[in-house]
Amino acid sequence: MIAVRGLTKRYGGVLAADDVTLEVAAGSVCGLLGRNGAGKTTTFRCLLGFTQPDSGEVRFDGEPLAPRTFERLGYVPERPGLYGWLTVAQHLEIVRRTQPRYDAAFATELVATFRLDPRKKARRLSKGQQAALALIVALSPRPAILILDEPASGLDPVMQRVVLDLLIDAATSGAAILLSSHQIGQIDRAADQIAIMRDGRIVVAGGLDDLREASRIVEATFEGTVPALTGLPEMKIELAGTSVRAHANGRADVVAARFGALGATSVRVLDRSLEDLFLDAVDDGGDR
Amino acid sequence: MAYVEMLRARRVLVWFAGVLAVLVVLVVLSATQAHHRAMIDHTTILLSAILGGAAMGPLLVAGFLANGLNAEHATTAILWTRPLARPAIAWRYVAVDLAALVVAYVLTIVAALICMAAFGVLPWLQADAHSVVTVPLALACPAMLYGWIQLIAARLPGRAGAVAGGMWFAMLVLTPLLIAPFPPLLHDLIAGLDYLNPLIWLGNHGSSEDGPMLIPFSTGWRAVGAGLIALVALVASIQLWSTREA
Repeated sequence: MIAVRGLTKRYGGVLAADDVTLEVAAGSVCGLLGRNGAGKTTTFRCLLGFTQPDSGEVRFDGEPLAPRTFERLGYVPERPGLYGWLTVAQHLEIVRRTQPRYDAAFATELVATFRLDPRKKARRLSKGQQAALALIVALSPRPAILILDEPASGLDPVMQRVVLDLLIDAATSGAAILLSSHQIGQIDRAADQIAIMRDGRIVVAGGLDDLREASRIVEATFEGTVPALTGLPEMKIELAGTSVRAHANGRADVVAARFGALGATSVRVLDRSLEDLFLDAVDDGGDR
Repeated sequence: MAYVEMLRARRVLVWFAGVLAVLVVLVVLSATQAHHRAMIDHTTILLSAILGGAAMGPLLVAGFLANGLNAEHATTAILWTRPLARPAIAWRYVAVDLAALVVAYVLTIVAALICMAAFGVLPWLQADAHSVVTVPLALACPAMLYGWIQLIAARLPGRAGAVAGGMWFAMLVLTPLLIAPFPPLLHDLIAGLDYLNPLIWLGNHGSSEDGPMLIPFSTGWRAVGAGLIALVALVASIQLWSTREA
């Protein structure tokens, strides 16, 4: 389990991470979303001890970060920090020599899956292959905790699917996974919970299904004029002519029934995509 | 993680051995010219001079080896996510590099002996009282240079090469400046800097030809002193490296 509480990191006058609190349980994939500069990478760097937070607490399976944490923690950086002059096989040798839980058979399987030549030097690999090698380095010890910063960037769509399947398999096996990606489709496919960051803060967090349920919109059309909308729970309502859009805050069924009772000629409950949720959360009112 | 540094050190040593081999071949070819042999008078060659001079090999190699740990800023995602404390990782790198300095030293001695044999002067080589203590001194001085580079570059990721170049320039400039006729204040400043100069510790140049030595210690104590400076520089550099932010 990954537990972050009140994590704050300031660079000069910039609050890169502001009171970040999140929890990723074993067997869960948490998608961390946010625009560039939202604080995702800073959060990761604080989690991994690459930089010291100004305040806050990070725990892995209840313990603070220590060298031995990395026996069960795998990390895939945004840019694969590989040894360009070493071969794929030599990268695996590094992992074999340093990770007690290194699974050689699994590593070989991953090398074959990503179609990497073990004799090829990292600098001779394509961008996607380098990303794949970084993934293999992180995944081959079968870590119980995975932190991935844009792990599938540079991979072709087929390989992206393979990566997501690997992550889902790992979570099914009990791994706690924190995954950042700009490709919302990837998060939508792999994650069961999300956290959306904006200006260093987590502005939306929760189970993906719960958030979707909470964000459903009820759209109703009335004949003539819209009647007085009484008996509705408190929520945001948009009026446009004879149509009403209600942000139902998780009570779509109640709202739809009430619109029906008020004489609506048509009532539709609209599911919202993760992309809609994301855009709502990061909307600063000026960019779109 | 010593594995990565072993591969890196091996690469440096292969290059170094290659350069030495080329130089040895050139010297051997030159030795076949009869007039060169005739120019050499029969004399005694002190073993300590060869052992001390051979320190130039590891001194050259030290600058390249010091790049290893420093270059790891680009691979932090791998290096700092191993289940090892950062100082332990760094000390392993240093241990490999120091071992590589010993190999470079041995290679240089072997190359020197081959060259001497080519000129037929090997029989004139004579062990002297300083021979044994010259070995640790000849290893401590490159270790000192290695330590300085690590220390200066500890918070300058990826700049160890430039620091090594600067160090060599400073060492080579500061050594002759010590006997230059400068005003006392400037001379003292240069002498102060020269206390940190591995070449001075190795050669023990005096402030003038007949004047007192800058470092008035015996060869053995100079080895201890240079070794201690190297150790202090390495401890400080590893502390800085381990606590830097990635």
